[in-house]
Amino acid sequence: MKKIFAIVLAVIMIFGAVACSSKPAGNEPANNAAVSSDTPWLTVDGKCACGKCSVDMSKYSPYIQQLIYEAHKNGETLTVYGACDESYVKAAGEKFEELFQIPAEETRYATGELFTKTEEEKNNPQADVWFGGSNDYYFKAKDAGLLQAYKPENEKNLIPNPAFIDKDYEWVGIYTGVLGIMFNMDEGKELGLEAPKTWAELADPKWTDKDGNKLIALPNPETSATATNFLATQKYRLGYPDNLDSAALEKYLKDFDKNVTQYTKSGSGPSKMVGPGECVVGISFLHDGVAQIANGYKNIQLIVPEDGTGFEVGAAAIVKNDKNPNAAKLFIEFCLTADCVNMGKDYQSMQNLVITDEAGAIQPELLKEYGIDDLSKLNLVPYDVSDVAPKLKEWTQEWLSYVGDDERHQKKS
Amino acid sequence: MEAKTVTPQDYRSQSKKLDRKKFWNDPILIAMIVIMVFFLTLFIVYPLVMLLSEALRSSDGHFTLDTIKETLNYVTFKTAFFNTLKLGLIVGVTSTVVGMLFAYIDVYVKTKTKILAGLFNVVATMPVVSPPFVLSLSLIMLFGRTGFITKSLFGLRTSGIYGLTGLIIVQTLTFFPVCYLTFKGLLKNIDPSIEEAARDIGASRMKVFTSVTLPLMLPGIGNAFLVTFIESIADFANPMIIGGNYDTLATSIYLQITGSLNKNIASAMALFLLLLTMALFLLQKYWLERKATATLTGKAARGRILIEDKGVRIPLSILAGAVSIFVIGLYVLIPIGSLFNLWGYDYSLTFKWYEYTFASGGAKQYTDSITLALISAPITSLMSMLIAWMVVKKKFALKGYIELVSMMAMAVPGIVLGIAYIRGFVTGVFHVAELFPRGQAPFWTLQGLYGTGALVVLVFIVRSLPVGTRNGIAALRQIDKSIEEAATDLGANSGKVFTSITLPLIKDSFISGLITSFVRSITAISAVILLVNPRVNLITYQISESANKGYYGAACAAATILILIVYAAILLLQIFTKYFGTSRYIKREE
Amino acid sequence: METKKKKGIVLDHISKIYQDPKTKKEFYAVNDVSLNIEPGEFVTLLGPSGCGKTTTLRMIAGFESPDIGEIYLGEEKINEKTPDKRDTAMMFQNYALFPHMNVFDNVAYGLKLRGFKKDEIREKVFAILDLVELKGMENRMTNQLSGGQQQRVALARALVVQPSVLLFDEPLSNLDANLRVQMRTEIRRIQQEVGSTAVYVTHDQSEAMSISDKIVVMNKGVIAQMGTPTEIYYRPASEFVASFIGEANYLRGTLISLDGENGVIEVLGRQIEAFCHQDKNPGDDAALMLRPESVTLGDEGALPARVVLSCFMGAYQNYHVMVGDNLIKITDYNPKGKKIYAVGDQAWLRFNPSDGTIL
Repeated sequence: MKKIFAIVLAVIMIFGAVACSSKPAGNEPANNAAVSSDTPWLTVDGKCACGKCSVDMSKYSPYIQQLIYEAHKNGETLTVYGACDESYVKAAGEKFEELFQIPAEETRYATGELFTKTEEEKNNPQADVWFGGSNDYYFKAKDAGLLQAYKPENEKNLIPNPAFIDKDYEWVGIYTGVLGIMFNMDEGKELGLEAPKTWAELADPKWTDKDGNKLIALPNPETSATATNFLATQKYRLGYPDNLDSAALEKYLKDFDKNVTQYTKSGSGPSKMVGPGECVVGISFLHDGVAQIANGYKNIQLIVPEDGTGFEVGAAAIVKNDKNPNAAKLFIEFCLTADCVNMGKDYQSMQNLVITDEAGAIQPELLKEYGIDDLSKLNLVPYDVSDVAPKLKEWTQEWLSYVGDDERHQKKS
Repeated sequence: MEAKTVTPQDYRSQSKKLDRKKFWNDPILIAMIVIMVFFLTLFIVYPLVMLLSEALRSSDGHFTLDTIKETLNYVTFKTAFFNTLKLGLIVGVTSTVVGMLFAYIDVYVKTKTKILAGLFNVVATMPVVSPPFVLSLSLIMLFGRTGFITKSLFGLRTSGIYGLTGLIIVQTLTFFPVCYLTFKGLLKNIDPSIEEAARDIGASRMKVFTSVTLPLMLPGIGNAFLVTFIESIADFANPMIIGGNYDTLATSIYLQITGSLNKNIASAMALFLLLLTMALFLLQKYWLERKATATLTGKAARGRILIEDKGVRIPLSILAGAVSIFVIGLYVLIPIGSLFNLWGYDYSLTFKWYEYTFASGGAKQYTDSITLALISAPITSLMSMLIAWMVVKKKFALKGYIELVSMMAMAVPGIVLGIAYIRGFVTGVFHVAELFPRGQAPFWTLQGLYGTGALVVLVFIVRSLPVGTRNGIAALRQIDKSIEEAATDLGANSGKVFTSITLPLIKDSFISGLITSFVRSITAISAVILLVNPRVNLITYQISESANKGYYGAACAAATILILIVYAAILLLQIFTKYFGTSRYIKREE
Repeated sequence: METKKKKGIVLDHISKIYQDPKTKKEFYAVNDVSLNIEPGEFVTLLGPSGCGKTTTLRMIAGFESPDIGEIYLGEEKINEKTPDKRDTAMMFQNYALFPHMNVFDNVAYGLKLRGFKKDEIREKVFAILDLVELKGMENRMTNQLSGGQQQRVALARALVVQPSVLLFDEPLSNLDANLRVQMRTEIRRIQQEVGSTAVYVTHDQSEAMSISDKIVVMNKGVIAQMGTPTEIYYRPASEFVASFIGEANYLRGTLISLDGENGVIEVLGRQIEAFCHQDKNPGDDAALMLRPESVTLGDEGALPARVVLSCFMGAYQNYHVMVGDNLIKITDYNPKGKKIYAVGDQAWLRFNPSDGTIL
């Protein structure tokens, strides 16, 4: 019996300890160094006035210096919810902590999970910032009132493009990815198939082999933003918004569907199926394909369809009512610097950067190799996320009606 | 002597009153009941009600059946619902049969070599000690589109393993050990003389099995079938990995929540899933339980004479041997798979996946996983035995509630539980913490739980409780009530009876509960996907991430390390529990 | 073995009501049972199955609560006490040994609960094991013991805590006949040695006769009779008791007169004076109960009889005779040298009226 009581007691103590462990008290400003009168966030010798850190303030603008000082003064920490590759999320958090000496913790979620979790935590936000993941979800989060608007100083580092930053400044772009086709060259050779050059080609019955094996993999539009991007791309390609050829779209989607072996749950699913030959043609964002090639699948060929393709923007944002406002702002500023975005390529994140070369951004080498490093040279559709995002649900239903529920359930996974 | 002229109805009240008084004179039992009711209500009923009520609420908060109607007409739901039922039924049957085969051989048949018997045991316990989804992984590596056997050996381009077939194989191999352990306990407790009596009056071995052994085990079989059925229904990781086009309710709910961001529909689906499993549970409880038999009395039975008959032994051995070799093969593949560069494409040897697993998550995710599982396992196991004991051996008003609720968590897919926990605790119980200034909510709101490892531990407990409780109940039903009465009569109070008599008698159940909950906790994914926080990192998350990314090598490497950890933990546990509850040798000095 | 203060048990108008699970009708399992068991006394509850004897025992132990009435242990009311707080120790029909403990730990269990020191426990356990003749068995697990040995472990386990009251629930029913005889003698011997009050439940009348200070015969939840074995045997209170305990012959007739305990019954025109319980009135139908060994046959005697069965059994000659419409069974001990009647012979029934009881 004693044992039981001991355990009960232990449980209570765990709860107790949890309840009692509040956040560490903020560092009091130190008085040992004289504070500069013009710039009270700096000491006279140009250090952070918190007096406890060793951040090299000279690297930063006065505004950023103030953010650093305020964050230090208030003892702020930073909690990052990320949606790009786990290692990149972790690296970004660690880099931030190293640069600004603000303790950072980070967790990676799938984009949908990230959204759901933040929405559930709306009244007791645990995260300060979001990092990475398609701006489709940022748009939804903005709609749901989960994000905090912030106009960053480093907006100037962005490649000027209305697609790369929210017009209300609720999120900022950090990278972009091009939707495209991945082709397994070995399998293609075996089957006597040339790599496709356009979206239109994929409706051709040749993408079902003579045994009836379907060769294309696409994510499921019901669960993946990559797939809805594909749907939107097809709309744009066929004349959206001004003169959409609905009949052509329906025919295309229906014919295309006949060649699809699997609708994967995850957006990057097809990119993983191409290399091992689980499909011959996979449709994903091309940076996922690049990551697979980097992994060792040298048999993958990347194709940017010549008839125009869509793109996604990976974003970062501040969570509304977060507990560490200065650290969060600082993080957004950090996201818009080369310090942050240049790390992506080392952590399985081979996206095109949306930061200018002048700001020090270095586009991933591999992208150059496949000729997709310069967005201006690619035939991109005029994808407008603020227009498209609210319509995606409707478009998905439309697609469902074309491909039919029954058949879809044969293939969907 | 003439009876006094009282009608029975007048006087039943005294015994009721006395029973009540006796009940109140048992503070330990009362404390246990209070703790259990509190725990179960707060950590199971409350969050689920918070979440499931959403299915019955319109966006402006009014009661509505619209979501339910919408869901019922939703093809995704209908398909998933029938898929789930079909899979559960098939896996329930196959797991029960395979489990019975192993248990029968283990207890009844004299296998020629000890090696074979040992092999069975290893094979049967293997799925218990490894992450549930590793079998999916190795099955794909063998029979998938790029599988070693299908593609590399036979050049087949087939996706046949994805879907129902693969799920049946994987789930059966994953869940049959629970059946096996249950049956083993039951068979051991059957007094051999009962069967010998039947044999003696001319019944064949088959006849004895079908007419004596099987009926005696019926409650246990029902129990095992039910457990498997529900486990199959609530399984998330396997359908996600190997389910292919075969959607189940659990995966559909997850996708509704994270893909379509349709939480109302997801709540409705979860409600239906819960109703389904509750129906199964009630069916079992009120139909099967009536046939329960007590066969373990304080009168010790003799040992059983093992079957040496070749006609029985050889076919059974071959059958079980085949299953064994297959299962072992699947497990061996995991460490092997971790050593190749790119499975299915580039079979060059490498250690890079081990480097990868430590580089991307670090050692913290291992230590976090182990720590949390280590905390939750003993609490879970003890609690489930306590609940089982209270349910089987005690009479009190809230018994039905305790039993039902403790079983309920099994029927809840992890992802639903995870969201329910977030919703239930993010701003304290019933959101009361919102009434206080930020960061100043008092302890009793329990807001402090949110975002801590304690909440993860609670989820682990709640998720594993049903399995332990079911096993505990099955084991306790086998114990004659007079054994505990004897202890009470000698002066032991409720707590003492439980610790000194009941618990040691169901030691096997307890230990298996301990192991099961440790493994379930350390390998849990779906329930904690949304609960994981920067402060708590879990290794399984990385494994499933790797599997999703197609990094089978990384998944294999992490799974290998995980299996080693679990094995080490079990070995330690067995050393600790070896002497628990058994008698020591007494030397008599003259 | 030292003894402690003995306590008696009083059952004060105890009733227990159960519900028939099928018909949902409530019935008395125990109906208005009052008993006064003296300290140190060995009392047996005897009756057919379903007579309420086990229920009564379980109420004393505290496993069941009486619906009516109060139970006293010594001076103390114990109705509200849980079984573990009552100073009783029970021996169960199936022994209920703890299967996970060896003999020593089984026996030591109650002592450990009572907080005895290790040395004391050893001493007491070994002493009691010697008493029940299980010396050297302390490390056996219970499934390594024979039925008789298990039974003695159960006995030792109950005895060792020296309870005020020892309760026995048909403890010998699982043993073979020889062992049963041996064990009941031992139980009696040890109980006397330990000095506890004992309540013993059995349906075996010879067990009850041989072991008890007092027998309580129960039937359908009611006490049919209470008394010493001799009283019960020779002065049964009813035909039920007479038939349940040993064999009984009945000579049916009419009660002529009743003076105190002396009744006169007329059977086949003969008036016979014999002991009679005071619950009868002259003119009532009555029967003279005679035990088979109290009756012999002779060439002259009280009543004429016709022999319908005559059988030599070694120790005795077994006769069945008809006296009027009454079938009388006779066991005539030590028949050697006596006249043996054959089937069809006419003879006379001889008996000492004081051996009989008018019922």
